[in-house]
Amino acid sequence: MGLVAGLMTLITAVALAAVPRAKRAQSPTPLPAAQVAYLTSCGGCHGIEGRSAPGSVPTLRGLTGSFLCTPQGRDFIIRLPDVALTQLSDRRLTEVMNFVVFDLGAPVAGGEKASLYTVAEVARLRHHPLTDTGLTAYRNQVVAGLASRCRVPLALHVYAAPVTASR
Amino acid sequence: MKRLLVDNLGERLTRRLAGRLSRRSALARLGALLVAAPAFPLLPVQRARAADEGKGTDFSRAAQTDDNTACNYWRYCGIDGNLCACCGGGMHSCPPGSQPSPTSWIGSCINPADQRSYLIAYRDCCGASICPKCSCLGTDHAMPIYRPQANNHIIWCIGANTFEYHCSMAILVGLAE
Repeated sequence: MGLVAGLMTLITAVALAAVPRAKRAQSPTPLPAAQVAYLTSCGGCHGIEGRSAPGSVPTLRGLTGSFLCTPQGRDFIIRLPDVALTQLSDRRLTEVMNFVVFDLGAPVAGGEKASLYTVAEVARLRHHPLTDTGLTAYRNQVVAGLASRCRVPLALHVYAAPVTASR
Repeated sequence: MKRLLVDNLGERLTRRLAGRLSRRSALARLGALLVAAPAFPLLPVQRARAADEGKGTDFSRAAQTDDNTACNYWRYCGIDGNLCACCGGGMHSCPPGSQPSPTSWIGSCINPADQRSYLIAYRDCCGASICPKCSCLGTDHAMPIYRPQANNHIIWCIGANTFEYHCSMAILVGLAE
C-alpha cells in the first residue's frame, strides 16, 4: 500500500508540475480584457491602434482625450449610438471607454485631474443615446465647444460618414 | 448522561476503522488524496470550463496549422473571400498592385496548437481586380449584415482609395484569453 501511494503521489506531482510549464513556454501574454473588447467591438473600423482612415472613420488615437474638456464632450462620446447601444455590459463598456480615452486618446484634457468614467456614469449616459439627433451637426457643436475652451487638435474637426458595399 | 444514536454510530465506525487500518496506511492514503485532489476538478464551473476548452468550434476541430493556402487553416475561421496567400501575397501582406484597407473586422479563432483563442483581423486588399483563387467561407463569430462591424460579407475597403476588392488577409492581432 505504501509503495502504491508513493508511486501515485510521484506521478501526480510530475504531471502537475510539467503541464503548466509547457503551456507557459509556448503561449504569449493575453491582451487586457478592455483591449480585447475594444478590438472586437470597435477596433476593426477605428483601427487596432486607434488610427483609421481620415475622413472615413474618426481616428481615436491622440484625439478622444480632448472630449473631456467640457461636460458636453465627456457625455457625448458615451451617448454616441454605437457606444451607448453596444451589447457590452455597463462595466465592460466603462473599461473600454476608459481605455479609448485615457490610453488611446491621450493626452486627456484636464491632465491628471481628469477622472475616469465610473460604471454608474456610463450606465446613466447610455440610457440617452443620440439616436434622434442629427449626429454630424451635433458633433460639430460639441467640437466647437471644446475648441472654445481648450486647444484641440485640428484632426478632431475631420469627420465624414463611411460608405459600404457588398461583395 | 444519555448518548445519542449518532454518537454511538460514530464511535462504532471509528473503532472499527482503527481496528482494521494501521496508522501508516491511513496517513499514506490521506497523503495520496491530498496530492491527487488538484488533478481532478471538483467544482462544476471548473468541469464546465475544462469541457469547453476541449470543445472548440466545428471549424477549430478540423483546422490545421501548416498550410495557409487551404481554407481550413486555423486563422480562416471567420474569413469570407479569396485568400491573399494564394494570390502572391501573405498573411500580413497584400499582393503586388493592391493595397491593404485601413479597416477590417476582427474576430477570434482557436489555434489547434495550444487550444487558445486569438484575435484575427480580416483585412481586405483593395485596388486591383478580384483574385479568383482559394475562395473560402468561415463563419465563426461573424454576424448578419445588420451588425456590419462583425459582418464578413462586406467589402472591407472602407477608407481605401477604391472599393475594388482583390483578396483577404487574416492578420494575427494577439491572444484573447
